[in-house]
Amino acid sequence: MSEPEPQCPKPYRPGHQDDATDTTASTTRTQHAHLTQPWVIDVRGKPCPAPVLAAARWARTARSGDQAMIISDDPATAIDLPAWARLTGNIIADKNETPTHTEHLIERI
Amino acid sequence: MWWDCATHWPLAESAAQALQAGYRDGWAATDAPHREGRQASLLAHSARQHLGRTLNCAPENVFFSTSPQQAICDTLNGILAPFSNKKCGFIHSAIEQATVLHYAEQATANGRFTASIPVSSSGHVDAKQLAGLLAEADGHIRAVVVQWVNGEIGTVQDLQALHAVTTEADVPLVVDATAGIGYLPLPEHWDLLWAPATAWGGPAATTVVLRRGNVRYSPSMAEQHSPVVPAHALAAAVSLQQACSRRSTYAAAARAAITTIGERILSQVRDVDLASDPANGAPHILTASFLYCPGERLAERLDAAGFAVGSGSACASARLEPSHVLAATGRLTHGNIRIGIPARYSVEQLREATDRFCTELPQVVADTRQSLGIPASDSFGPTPDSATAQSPHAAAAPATTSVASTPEQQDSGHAPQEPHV
Repeated sequence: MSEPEPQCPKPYRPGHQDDATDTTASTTRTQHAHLTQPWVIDVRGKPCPAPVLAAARWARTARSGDQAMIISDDPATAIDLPAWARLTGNIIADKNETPTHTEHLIERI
Repeated sequence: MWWDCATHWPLAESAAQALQAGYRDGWAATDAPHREGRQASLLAHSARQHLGRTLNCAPENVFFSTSPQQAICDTLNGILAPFSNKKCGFIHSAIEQATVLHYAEQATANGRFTASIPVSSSGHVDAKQLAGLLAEADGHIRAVVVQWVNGEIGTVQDLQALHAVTTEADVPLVVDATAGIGYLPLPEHWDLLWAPATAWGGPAATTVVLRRGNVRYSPSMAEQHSPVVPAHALAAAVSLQQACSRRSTYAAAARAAITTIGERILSQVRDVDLASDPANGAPHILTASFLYCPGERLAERLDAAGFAVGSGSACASARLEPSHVLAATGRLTHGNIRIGIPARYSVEQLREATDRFCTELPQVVADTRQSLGIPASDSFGPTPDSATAQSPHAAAAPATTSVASTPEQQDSGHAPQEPHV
């Protein structure tokens, strides 16, 4: 049985509701090239290894310097995303913990 | 192949025989004033002497408890009870058994001073850091609790260094010897020590507690009035003696197996976080995490291939929480498998099984990743031959909120040469 695919990451652009709900968004490098805001990948409700898989799928098409915000409520994410970054050479640029979830800003090397 | 034996062995044949003989000849109450009672008492006394001799400890310092959990609670209660200052507490390492952590939570809630000392990425407690904590605690610490060998990642603590620190501070070093006692010679550097008999093929419901005479200790009423079951004590003593007489042979065979498995995992599989150190850790424990894989699925696939292994991943635990040991050492918690080789296989058996395991595992991992949309041929992670990120102990503590993800990057100030996903 295969894992359900995480939601397709969308570029996070405040005030552009149409873009944020655009389900046709994809992760091609051409589309990443113009981004100045991080993509938001919300994997709340999905247990490990879904957050790391989501990061890997995003990183496969991201360009060097691109950033994505992984939002997760799985407690293992706070351990596994830094470990993913260590193993793959990517970067955890920022981290924010709230009572309900964690936000990791990952950056593609 | 049953490879889930880090801390719990099946009942040894010698223990089964001793149990039978013990129940036949030592069934009576040990304090009863008749021949049967004296016979039971004699069996218990004999077992204590045997255990003391095998563990290099005076027989009068050998005690019994029903379970490791009971031993932990009784031991800490007994150490803390003599002190009138009810704020006195203890220090424990971050990778202790869950019972110790729960006891610490309760003690903290009751106003006692407790502290968890962090460990390095290899699971070691730093003696200097411990000395600093003891100095800061200003006399509120009455015990330091550490595992001799960690049952999940196989870290062997330097008890000599830690004992030197605790002796200097006049605090007893309380040691959990569960995972090491069946494979390694027991060190002398402890003040109070426990290990369940199941850790060497002895009976369940029997935990041996050793206590040096100089430890200030107040046994609970339950401890004072719970006589040992002679059959259990006898079975524990006989099986321990047998395990100790064979351990060097089995330990050498197990270490050769986990060393080979560790080397071949690193050379054949991408994106592996090897938490164990086969050369310097416990001879029978190897733990590795495979990026992107659910640990439960790996364990199930390996079971279908004929290898029963454990897992510290959240998906494989009843509480759906990742292993606190992997978390404390900053290791990848998902995709985790834990190999614990029991002292029951010959060198030949292990060699054949190791070869088969090392053939099966890469395929199991590749299939699992493929099913999750992670192509095996993609540039995920460093190449298997790259030693930098793959080496189990080249990587130090985990990056959490840092900008650079590894200490090497932080030191050098530049990113890795080979970017990948």
